[in-house]
Amino acid sequence: MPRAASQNGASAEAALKRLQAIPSLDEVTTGATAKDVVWTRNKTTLCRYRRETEPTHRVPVVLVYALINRPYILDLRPGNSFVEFLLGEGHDVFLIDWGEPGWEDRDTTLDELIGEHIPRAVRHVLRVSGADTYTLLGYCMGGTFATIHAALRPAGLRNLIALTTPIDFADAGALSTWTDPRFLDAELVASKLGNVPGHLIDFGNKMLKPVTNFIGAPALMWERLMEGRDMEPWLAMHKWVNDGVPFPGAAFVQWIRDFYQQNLLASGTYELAGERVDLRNITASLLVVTGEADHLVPPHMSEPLMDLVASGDRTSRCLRAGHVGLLAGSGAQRGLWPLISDWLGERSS
Amino acid sequence: MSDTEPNVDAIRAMRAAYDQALSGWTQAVESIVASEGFADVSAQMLQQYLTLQSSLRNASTTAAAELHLPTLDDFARLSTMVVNVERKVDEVADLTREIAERLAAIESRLGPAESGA
Repeated sequence: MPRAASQNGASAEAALKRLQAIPSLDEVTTGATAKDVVWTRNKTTLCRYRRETEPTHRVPVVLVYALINRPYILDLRPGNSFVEFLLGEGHDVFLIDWGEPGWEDRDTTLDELIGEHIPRAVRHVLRVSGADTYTLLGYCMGGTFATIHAALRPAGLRNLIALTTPIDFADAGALSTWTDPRFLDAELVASKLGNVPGHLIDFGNKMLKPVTNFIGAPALMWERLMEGRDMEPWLAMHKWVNDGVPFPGAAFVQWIRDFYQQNLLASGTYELAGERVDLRNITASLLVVTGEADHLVPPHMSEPLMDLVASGDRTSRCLRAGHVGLLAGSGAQRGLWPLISDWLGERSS
Repeated sequence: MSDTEPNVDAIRAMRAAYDQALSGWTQAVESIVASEGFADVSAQMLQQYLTLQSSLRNASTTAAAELHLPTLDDFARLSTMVVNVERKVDEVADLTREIAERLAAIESRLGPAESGA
């Protein structure tokens, strides 16, 4: 047998062995950093990550996650965890996790989640940390929620960090077309489904880049497998990407109608529970971070926030990354994490 | 290279060929999915999905009612009641904490006066 053919056969055999040795997704460790529950309301949970030493920064950091997928992307796996990094940098870290809505939560609105849960969570953060001020760090839709809260309840907010946060929905790419009222009746969807299933949202997100998601991702897995590289990073990300949670129906209607279809927030006409959200009420230090390859929230959806707030201290950074890779990709530890650490360190004393 | 190690060069070559071939396809497919024609077809498929899901839910609700079994809506009503109780307990807990803090503040102010008397 020629040497090349022999090598390829051995390669395939070795890869097959590795394939058989791959753990199931349930066995992949994610979200492993120890934490304590501080407060709960319905499915919403406020957690505080455990520290072995006293925080060196006095201003606690509150992470606000989105209603899509689960928040362990912020604490993906030991050694590649943004939360772990923040703890190591001396921060007191809290997380607002929206949990997994059930059928009974189909009428849950953004009014309740943003208008009631975030302020109460913040009150508990200040109480247990003993701090007077706090930092709010929102990721994706969580950044929009954090921004709305910052505009409505600016007291005590020292820093606002908006990671890949959609603010101006005038041009959301393919999502603008898909959510056009001619093609998407959000109220009909919610009335028929109750909550919008996680797999439906996941499929929609993947269809934005079908070749990358349906061909590129499996190809990447095979590449790692054939090269004999550690499969854990790929598996952890694969687990998270496919770990969708239902989107509460009423909140989905608001999200699609008020943001994608009417772009109320950027135009200054958005109201939450009857209260107008004026982004000029935001005076906290602001950091806006975008990813130049982000197809879900391209930079032009986030950057207008810089001109809509009244903050005197404003910073905007666009990194060479995509929507998720920015936070948990292989480059995050050299890109986003130190950027946030440096920016926050100067503003958390 | 040992016989059990994968042929990495071949894989890299395949990957390069794959990347090159797919970059064109990626752009073409993404422009298709961003089109109104695709959105229109997706909307029709979504409509069919909604109709199917709605029919399944109605059928299961009817079947459960016929068998005198609790339906999803019954459990949801129960859950809503529990959530409402939780909300009230949370508000009472907040109020209690606030009262306790005010009392503590009053006591700390009264303390020196009492010791002075």
